[in-house]
Amino acid sequence: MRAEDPGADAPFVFRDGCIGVTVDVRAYRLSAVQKTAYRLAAKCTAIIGEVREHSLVVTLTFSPTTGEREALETARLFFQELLDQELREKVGEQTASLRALILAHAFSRTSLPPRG
Amino acid sequence: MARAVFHPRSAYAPSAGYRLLPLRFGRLDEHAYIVTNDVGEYVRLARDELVAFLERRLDSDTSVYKALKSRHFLYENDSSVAFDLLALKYRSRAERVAAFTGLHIFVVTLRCDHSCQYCQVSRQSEDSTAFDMTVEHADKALDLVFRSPNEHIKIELQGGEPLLNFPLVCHIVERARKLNEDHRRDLQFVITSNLSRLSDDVLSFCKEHGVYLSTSLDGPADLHDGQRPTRGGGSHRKTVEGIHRVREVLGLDRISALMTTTPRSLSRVDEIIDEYVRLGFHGIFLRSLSPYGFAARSLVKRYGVEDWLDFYKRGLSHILRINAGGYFLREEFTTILLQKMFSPLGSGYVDLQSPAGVGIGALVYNYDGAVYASDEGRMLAEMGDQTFRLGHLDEHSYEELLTSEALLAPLGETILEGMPMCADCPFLPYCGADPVFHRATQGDAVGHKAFSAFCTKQMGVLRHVIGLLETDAEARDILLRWV
Amino acid sequence: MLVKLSARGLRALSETSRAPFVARITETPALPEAARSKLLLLLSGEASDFPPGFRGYLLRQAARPLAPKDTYLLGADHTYLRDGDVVRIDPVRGTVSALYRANSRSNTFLVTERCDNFCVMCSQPPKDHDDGWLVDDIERAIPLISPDATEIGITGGEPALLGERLVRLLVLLREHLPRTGVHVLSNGRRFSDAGFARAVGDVRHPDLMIGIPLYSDLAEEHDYVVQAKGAFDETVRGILNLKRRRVRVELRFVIHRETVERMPEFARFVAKNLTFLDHVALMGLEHVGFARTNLEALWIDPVDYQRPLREAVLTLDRAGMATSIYNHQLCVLDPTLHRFARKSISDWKNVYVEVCQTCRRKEECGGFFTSSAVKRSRGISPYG
Ligand code: SF4
Ligand code: SF4
Repeated sequence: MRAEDPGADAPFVFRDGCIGVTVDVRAYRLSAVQKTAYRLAAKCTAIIGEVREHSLVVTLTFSPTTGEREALETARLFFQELLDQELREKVGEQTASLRALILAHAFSRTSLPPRG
Repeated sequence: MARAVFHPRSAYAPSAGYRLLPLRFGRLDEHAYIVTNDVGEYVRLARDELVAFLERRLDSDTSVYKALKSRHFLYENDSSVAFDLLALKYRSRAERVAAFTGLHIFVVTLRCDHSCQYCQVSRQSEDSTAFDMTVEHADKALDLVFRSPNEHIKIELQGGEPLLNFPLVCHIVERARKLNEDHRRDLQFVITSNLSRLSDDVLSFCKEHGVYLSTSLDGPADLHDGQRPTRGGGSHRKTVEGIHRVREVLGLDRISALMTTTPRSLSRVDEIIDEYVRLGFHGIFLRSLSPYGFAARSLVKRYGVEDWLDFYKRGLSHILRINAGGYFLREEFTTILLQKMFSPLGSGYVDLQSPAGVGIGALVYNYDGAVYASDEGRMLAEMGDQTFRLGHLDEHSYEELLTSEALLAPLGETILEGMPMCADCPFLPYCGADPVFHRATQGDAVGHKAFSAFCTKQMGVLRHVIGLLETDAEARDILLRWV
Repeated sequence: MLVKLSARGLRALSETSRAPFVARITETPALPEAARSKLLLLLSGEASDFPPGFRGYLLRQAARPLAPKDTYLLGADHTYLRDGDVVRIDPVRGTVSALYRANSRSNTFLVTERCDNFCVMCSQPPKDHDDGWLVDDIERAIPLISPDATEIGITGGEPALLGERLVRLLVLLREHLPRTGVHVLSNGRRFSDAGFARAVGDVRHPDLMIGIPLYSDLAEEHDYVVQAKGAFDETVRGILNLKRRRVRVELRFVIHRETVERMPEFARFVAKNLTFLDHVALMGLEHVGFARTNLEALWIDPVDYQRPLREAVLTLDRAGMATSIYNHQLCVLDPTLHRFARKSISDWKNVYVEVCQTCRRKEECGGFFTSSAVKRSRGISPYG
């Protein structure tokens, strides 16, 4: 499940206030893409397209005041965040049931906290 | 003695492999990531260490592995006591949240003799008693105070300028103490005053009843007076005189001061701090302007959260230098966050709780008998937004007030664990919800954190403080002394 | 002054009991006869006559013949015995052992020598044999002890291995000595059985503290030091169970080469997870038992661990935990730690070294264990 940096060999192009990026859906799940888009909402609006083959096209749309350098930086950030977000989803999968278990234990009667 | 045979360390090594415990992670700075868990433990680590750890291939001999294990981010098959300890910590945290409100704010009058630029409530002329709280309302509010199950109760008397309605202040303090003869709580009083009306009567009353005072001090005289105009001027001089008199009569620790950061303060943080030191204070709260009251209409837009963060960081390093020089001075906002990180009981600071501290951390009784879930909620109401009004002393019972929609809705909405972005933010255990802020700035209690100045501020401060804790041993030593 | 607590040299002057017996010493010959049957009368002067009815008689000087049953002449090692002491007399072996000394602040009962740990620095190495008679004696001794006794320690081996019998012992102490503090030294593992912990809690002893050692924040490190796999989990669970039953618990951390490295992390762990503990003691090594055998491997000069010790103590202190440093001389401690240092070494094994004679702070200083005065810190230097 080791994730390589996907932005490395895909140079971004900033045109008409937009950058189109392609996400491989075999490496990243949709929820990770959505959460990443949400996180970056202050920098750009991400329009999530449809899946073709294994690719998902996401269009990052910038406000007119955003310059090219800043936009490219955001696109780079998008993939950095996406990597983290994908990892988060995996961690969540592995630990969600444990968390429920610990909570159940925490609020069961046997786990009354010790008193000083 | 027969020769004893001891087994080597390796005989007790855990079997290979580990599993992850619930956690959150995120970037701390350019060099490092941070993982935290629900109960407030954290470990700072490099990104490749993080990825190795999450992919369950981190070497158990490394110190980062040991830290992660010790702080309950992973467990091995050989030892399961981590679950018992985690469960306990969850429970203790939850019990603290469940401890009902201990802070009760009485707005005894809206009248004031100052007309501060950033004042968060409408100022009124000094002699219009229409803006005073009535004795009947005060008594009803006091009954509510003692309905809360808290062991520690703090009654804060504020305004306007509360000393303009000193008879009611006396009434509340005396009656509360009388009621407490039966209730036997740990009861504390604070008057929030600009000290312009500090008379011998007031002082002897405070002395008799063990009342604390809290005042406003924005920095050196020109800065302070510039933003806190009074008829006749000289607010700074009067405040300083007042501070000295309180100390003389009541004792050194009886008075504290609060400052508010305005655009004019931004470049003068060292001077502001030095003024506090000069006046012998050992605590300073570098507060940003809140988006309520007059502030929202006039000044708040004039500096951004980034400006405040810069102000804060410069201030903090000045404060650390002062401490290194041997003078104890703590920054209160940082202290609240440090308490959340290191104190087993966390911090009870109202603005930083999940679920939101509204109604749980504080109840505000307004001069007109309305009850609010927090002081900020009251200020928002002064601006015409009644979202956080719980009800009215004449119309609602304690039960009705504490089960009102105004209280429960934000409570339910603001459990951070359920909010987008916050849900997987590593700073969540040290953060809070502040629904009033988000209502005021974004129109709903949850808010979109990517646009939230609150969130930017929290992340900025936490990143900075954790960075200091982890990379600067001297700073760490000083910071931990504040907890 | 040091005394031997069990010494031979008892000479019978009359017919003796066959079996060992436990009795309290009195120096008041005129006691009402009805009160005499469980007392040993200690006669210091020349015994002219023997008031009748006492359980036995101890003489400091040889007496005339015709002594009553169980009259003994004390030897040179027995001079410390006095009114109120509770002793065990073994007529056959000619020994007298003080189970309880009235003029000592703290008395300790060794209740078993068995243990399920095998700590690398154990001061009282365990022996695996049936020693139930130890408790038999103690059960007899307790009713004889003055209720004014300040504190009684219970130690082993592992006292909790006594199981139900430990509970009964605590009941006995509560009944006979309700004003006496009881301090049990246990490895805590047995209390991982919630039922047993509950039984101890249900004794509702008014002044009970259980001292439990924990040597690391990591299971494998603790398990190694106590040489028992799984001990960490059991000990921590034991602590939690006891606290749930509102039994007071003290944590004891012995500092040596095998534990020192994680001391700061250990403190952080305790401050975060076990904040509700009643006391934490960070202790210097006593050079007896295995610690003596393993001294070369375990010894670390205290001046070399002041930094981590300071960090650990401050972490605990900041968390609001009562924290003490035991078994350290003041002059080796970082000055900021002096307020945590306690004079912890029992009077009968406490000494000072030559240089201490001139030390201005000798009164406040805990000094040395008799056993530890040989290998000592290079930091020892008197305050002038
Ligand atoms: S408000 Fe911001 S810093 Fe706080 S938990 Fe939410 S995302 Fe994190
Ligand atoms: S010189 Fe002796 S008495 Fe003085 S502090 Fe050192 S060990 Fe203690």
